[in-house]
Parts: sequence; structure tokens; C-alpha cells
Amino acid sequence: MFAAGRIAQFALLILFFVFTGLGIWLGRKGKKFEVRKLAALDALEEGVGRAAEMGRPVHFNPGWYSLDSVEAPQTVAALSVFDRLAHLCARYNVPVIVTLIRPDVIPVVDGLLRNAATAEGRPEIYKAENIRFLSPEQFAYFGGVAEIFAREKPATSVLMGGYMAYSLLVAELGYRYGAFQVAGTASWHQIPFFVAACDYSLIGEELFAAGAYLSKDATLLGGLFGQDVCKLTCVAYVVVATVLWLLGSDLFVKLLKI
Amino acid sequence: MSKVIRREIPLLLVSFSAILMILDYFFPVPVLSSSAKLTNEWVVVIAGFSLCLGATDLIIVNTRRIMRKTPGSGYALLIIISFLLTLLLGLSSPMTKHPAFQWIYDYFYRPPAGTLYGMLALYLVSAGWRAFKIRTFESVIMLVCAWFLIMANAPIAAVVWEGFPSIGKWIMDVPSAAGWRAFYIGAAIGTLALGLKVILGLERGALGE
Repeated sequence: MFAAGRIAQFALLILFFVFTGLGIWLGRKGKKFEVRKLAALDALEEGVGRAAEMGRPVHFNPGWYSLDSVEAPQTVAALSVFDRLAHLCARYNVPVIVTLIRPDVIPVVDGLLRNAATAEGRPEIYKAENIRFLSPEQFAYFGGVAEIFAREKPATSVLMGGYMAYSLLVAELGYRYGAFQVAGTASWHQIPFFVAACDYSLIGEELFAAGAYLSKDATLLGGLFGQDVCKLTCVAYVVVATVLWLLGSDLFVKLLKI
Repeated sequence: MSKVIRREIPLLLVSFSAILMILDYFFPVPVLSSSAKLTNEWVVVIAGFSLCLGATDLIIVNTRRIMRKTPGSGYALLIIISFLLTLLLGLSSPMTKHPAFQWIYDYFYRPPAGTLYGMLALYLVSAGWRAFKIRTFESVIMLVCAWFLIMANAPIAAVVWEGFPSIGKWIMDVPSAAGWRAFYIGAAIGTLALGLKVILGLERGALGE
């Protein structure tokens, strides 16, 4: 019935879904969960305020991955951040320029930008030409972004989602133009670049928590609690497996291969 | 009705497709495999359409820039001409193998792309210079580790002291690998949790709710 070697994976998946579901259920029941501060997300308002004071736009890029890739969750998380950013920009009357590598994100970004402008009572701030698909090739994309930075000099640049090598090029470009930069990615090989070049960074799983953190929705915050229980389970498994391994038993290692 | 079309139906489709893919991964049942294969083919078709959307966006945005004579509108004209020319040559027979199309790719696109990739090395130094400024105890640790890693990878280092390569290898294999694995586990669980919330229709930030 099961595909060979995937029973343990399925059991873990179900266990993690149960823990996360339990957290969501507790949140729905009204249990309050504390979330530590994520400075990068709090800094969004500072970035938009800066742009408003300087009379310049905000730049946003939701990363490299399309909505049909295995890394799509990073793009979805980035779009949650963009929703908040679009509302802030509409509230403070700041144009937001979205540069894109993947065309399938265009309708989603368009919808978010339009909704935010309407919800904040400034439908006139929505401009379709501020959503710019530049190129699906990363270095050609960077050329387009460089031109936008040279011409429109965004005061703030927000880079969220999964990234490839161009992450450092765009982050350094923003630094050179004096932009206030907030970045976040779960692409492990790009994190050091963002940490070095940007003012604030979301690291790894923090990106996936962005939606819950920004919405303050009790149900989603409950999901974060479930996530932490999953992590603790993994830590406990690793500790027990290591102790057993040192005692000469590879039971917990074999269990994962069932 | 509009909300049902714009919100509920897409969410239902997402949940259905996600559950189908999960089941197909774990259970080798023919009906699941064929349904998953069909869904994947649909994804390819939709992705093809989205590329048309991207091309349309590129043309509309740049045409507006030309018509409004905004600064740099000459570049916008160049983008449109280059795009249309490359598209026409790419579609000419033999599809994507036309010598002129290949020539544009080899002599117009690849050299600047390679140059930009090469520039990464300079940007690495620039970003590293700022990151390694000693301000805290953590930055001291980072600087020391980075110094050992640079020495471990520099050919001359082993001549200076033969311990450099083994220290560099230890840093990569032990503390660095431990940190990355913890990061991987956290990111994987975050992905799973976000996936579940999307399947349940709870994560609607990306839909503007």
C-alpha cells in the first residue's frame, strides 16, 4: 500500500499535521500565544515612513521562485509580507514598485496592491505600471532593477522569498543607493548575504511565521505554537537517537528508513 | 458570487491539488498517479500562459513609458525592440535553434550575464568587509572562523602551517553543519506548517485577507 521507504515519513507528516492542527485549534478556542518580536517585520513601517519623508518609492521583490515550484511556500510567505507593505504604502501615500522574475505572481501582486489601495481609501495610488516583470533570467532581472534604482532611487527595498545568486547583487545595489533594506529568505545559501548587506533580516523559518506575526490572528499564531512543538519533537528525537547511537544501537536511525 | 470565484474556488483547487500530490507521493495507486500526472501537465500549461502574461506586462509598462516620454524612455524602446526581435527569431524555424537567435544569446546575453556573475566576487568582499567589522563578541567569532576558512582554502596556507586545512574542515563539518541542519529542520517544519494552513484555507495573507 505504501511506497517503499516512506512509512516513517508519512507517520512524521501526520504527527506534524496533528501538532500544528492542535495549535490552530487551541488558538481558535481563544488561547493566547506570545510571539517574540521580529524586528525585520516591525521595521516595515519605519521603511515606509522613511520613503514618505523622502518622497521616494518603496521597492519590493518576492524572490526567485514561482507559485508552482517546490519553494512556493517562500513566495506565499513573501506575498503575506507584501500585503502588509502594500497597506502601509497606501496609508502613507507612498508608491511601491514591485519587480518580478516570475510572471505567475503578477495577478496575485496586482490583486494585493489594488485591494490595499481600496481598503486604505486611496484607490488612486494603485498604478498597474508599478508592477514590473523584468526577466525570468536572474542577471537580466538585476540589470532591470539597477536601472530602476538609478532612475527612481527607492528609499526602501524589501526583499522577501526564496533567492538565488542575484540576492547579493540586489542587496548591495540597495546599499549603494542608501536604501533602507529589509530582507528575508529560507534559501540557506543566500542568508549570509542578506545579513551582511541589509538593515534587517528574517532568517529561515521566521519568513514562514510572517503571515501569522503580521495578522496577529489567534488561529495562525496557534499554528506557530504547533510548529514549535514539532521542532521540540525533532530535537528530542535527535537527542535520543544520538544517545542510543553512542550506546551502540541504530534503532532510531533505522526507524526513519522504514 | 464574486468572492466565491475570486477566493473560495482558488483555495479549494489549491487544497485539492496539494492533498492529491501528498497522497501520490506516499501511495503508489494508479488512479492517484494518473491524476497527479494530469495535474502536473495542467501546471505546465498554466505556467505557459503566465509567461504570456509576463510578456504582455513588459510591453504595456514600457509602451506607457515611451508614450509619456518619461526619463529613460529610450531604454524602454530598446527593451521592446530586443524582446520582439528575440521572440520572432526564437519562434522561427528551427524553433529556438535559429542561428541568429543563438547568436543573440551567445554574444548579447551571455557576456553581460557572466560579467554580472563575476561581479558577485567583488560584492562579496564589500559585504564581507562590513559584516566582519568587530562590534560584538559574535562578530569576533565570525571573523576568526572566516579567517580560518579563507586560510584553509588558500593554496599557500598549507605551506605556511599544515593545520589550516584541517581546522577549516572541522569548522565546516562540525559547528557549521550543526547550525545548518538545525536551520534546515526549522525551515522544513515552517514549510509543512504553512502548507497545512494553505490546505486548510487559513493562510490568506497572499490573497489579501
